[in-house]
Amino acid sequence: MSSEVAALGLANQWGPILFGLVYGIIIGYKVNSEEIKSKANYIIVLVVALLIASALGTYPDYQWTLFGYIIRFSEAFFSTVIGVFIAMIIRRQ
Amino acid sequence: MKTSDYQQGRNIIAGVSLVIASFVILRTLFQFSDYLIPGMSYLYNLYSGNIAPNVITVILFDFRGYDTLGETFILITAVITTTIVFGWGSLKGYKKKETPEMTEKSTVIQRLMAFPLAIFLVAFGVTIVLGGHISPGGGFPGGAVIATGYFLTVVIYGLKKTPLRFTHRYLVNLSTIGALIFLLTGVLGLVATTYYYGTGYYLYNTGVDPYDIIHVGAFGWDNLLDYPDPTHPGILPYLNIGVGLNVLAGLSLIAMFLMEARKDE
Repeated sequence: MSSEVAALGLANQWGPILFGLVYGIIIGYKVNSEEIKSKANYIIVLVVALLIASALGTYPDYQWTLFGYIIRFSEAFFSTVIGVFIAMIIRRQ
Repeated sequence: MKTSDYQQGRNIIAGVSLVIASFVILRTLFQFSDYLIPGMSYLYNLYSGNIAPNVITVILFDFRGYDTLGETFILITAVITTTIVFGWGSLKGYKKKETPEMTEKSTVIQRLMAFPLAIFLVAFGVTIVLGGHISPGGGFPGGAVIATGYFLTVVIYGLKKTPLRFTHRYLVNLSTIGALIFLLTGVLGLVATTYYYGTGYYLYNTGVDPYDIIHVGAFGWDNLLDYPDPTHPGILPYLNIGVGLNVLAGLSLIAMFLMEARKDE
């Protein structure tokens, strides 16, 4: 089944991305970022999140096909982190 | 009218409801053999493989959807009990005495690492919830992992200074919304099967339509509940999402009340 999923590629994968964003915004909306003293580690959080998402993507059902290459990446993980940051930015306005 | 009159009326209504409920349950149990259809198990085994690749999810949400619904409401009951015992009056906005914070006890490394780690735990929990239909996991474990992330920040930073600052009401709303997603998705299946077939099936998988009852896609809007994923598991991921919301909010609420209860010692 995994090769079938990989063949389908990007086209039908927006479910985990969308609901990951929704979950991230719901939880991140209650983050009070003023309590965090060192703002510099946000970039580190994003980079580490990217690495963890790649590591989680080794499960065969999370494969994507992009320009002919198979990418292993857990989109739900990364979109949740992005959702948390989006909600934090919304709250700071 | 005095308060005691209201109470008498309420007691009468409660008594009549109890009699009706007891009669229905006893009557159902008395004729229970009439409701069992021996071929159903065979049909389920035949179709389950077509719904989702993860058989556990099919069993949890399709074969035993009622069971999971009951578990969801058991969690809500646990939250209500904890609220009554430890968080008396906090939903109405009563302020209690100040909490002794644990912040002094946590080290710099803990304070530096706890929040990023909490973000990763939340994201990992969401991954478990959203991948519940294709991989091991689902709504319950995913929601528990997310609640662990919240609990980590509360333990390290203390309730007053935690960056992940949920309020009681927000968590109660999230928990209720999660349970309502489950209930209403089931009602949708009931309504759709009644409309097309004559007999209603609660929690029918309207996105996949394994018995070809509602002819998914025939009118364009019927496959609205087919989760956008290459595996096409229908409503199962939505049930996972609802259960995940319910569990994360419920366990976070229990953790919050237990942390607040420390002050009364």
